[in-house]
Amino acid sequence: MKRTYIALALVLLLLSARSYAHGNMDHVLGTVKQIAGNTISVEKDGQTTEVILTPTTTWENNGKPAKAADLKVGDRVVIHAVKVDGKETAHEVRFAHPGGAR
Amino acid sequence: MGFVHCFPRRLQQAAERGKTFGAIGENAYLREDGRGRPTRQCCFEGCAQPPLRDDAARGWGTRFPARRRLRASPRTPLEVERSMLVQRGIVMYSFVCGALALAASLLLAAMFLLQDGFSSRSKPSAVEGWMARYALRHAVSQADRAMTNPIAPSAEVLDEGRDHFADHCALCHSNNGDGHTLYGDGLNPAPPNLRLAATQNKTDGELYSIIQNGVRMTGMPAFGTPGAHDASTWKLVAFIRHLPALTAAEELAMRKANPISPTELEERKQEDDFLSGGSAQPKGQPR
Repeated sequence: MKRTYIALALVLLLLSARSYAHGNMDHVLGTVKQIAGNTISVEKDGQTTEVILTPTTTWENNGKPAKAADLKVGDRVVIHAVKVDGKETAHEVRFAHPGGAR
Repeated sequence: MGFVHCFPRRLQQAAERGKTFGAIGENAYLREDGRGRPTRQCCFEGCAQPPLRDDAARGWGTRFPARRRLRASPRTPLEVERSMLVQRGIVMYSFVCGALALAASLLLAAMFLLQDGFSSRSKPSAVEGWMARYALRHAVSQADRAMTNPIAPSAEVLDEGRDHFADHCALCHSNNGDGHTLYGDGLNPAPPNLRLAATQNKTDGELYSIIQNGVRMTGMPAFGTPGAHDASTWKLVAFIRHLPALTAAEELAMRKANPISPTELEERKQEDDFLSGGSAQPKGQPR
């Protein structure tokens, strides 16, 4: 019986992750720790993820169109990304400056 | 083969004596000179008549060496007959070998395709792509191709076309028309980048016809009613013309018209809350 509950929980976990998947995209979110060339590092709860930026990446700052140069270290960011060759590659970057500064 | 001066029986007798002849065309057997070349003289003694067709002797004087050698080669009638049979055999042999090679090639191609399968992940080959483009070019009738957009691209028309595109087309073509979406990236053949010349160089009528009638064996369905002239489709055509100049603000505005599921809507709210400094913790990584 215990095994059944565990299996059921795993299935539900998988289903919930799938429903959140926003198509087949991963969601990377947190605070921008570093911007180096076409790579940004996003940190949350001590864990860091690197995301590759491309010329086709779209940018949005507080609901308005933005550019890559507008992103600063310390900004809160939500990135919709797909894995290309094992690396998260940004499709869309949504960000906001801390304290609501625009 | 006809003989101009000589009877076949006498020719046969001459052949039995080991005499060789130069066969020139089909009309003359001529005596050889001392170096194995045919002369204009008949091979039989006492036959002083010139060849009936003087041009038959031109085999030697022709400016095509290969033909000259063929015509002037000294052969007996039996050898000529045998040569013809051999030639026919070579033709038949070549035909059979060619057919077998073609069948083997088709078999190998089929085995190769079956081995790799036909999933949407493998990119179409250059030949397949060319055939698809060729078929697409000819899928639109001449009359449709010649149509021009009857609706002028005003700001209102572009707004309507943009909202329509965001609601119905962007799922595969993406808001900016480059075709990189969940569905677009998974389609084979992939939707074209509508911003590029391959699409922009099509006539208004071609774009209209493709939207109305779809493209067979692709992910593009027929959206229109047969024979109908749909104003909303013409507005889409106007908007597709505008895609190369689409601004970031326009693209962002299109997101409001994109179809969105309740789950995605909730997710969006959580993301907005997170970005505005709220305590909401949308799922994602790093978590």
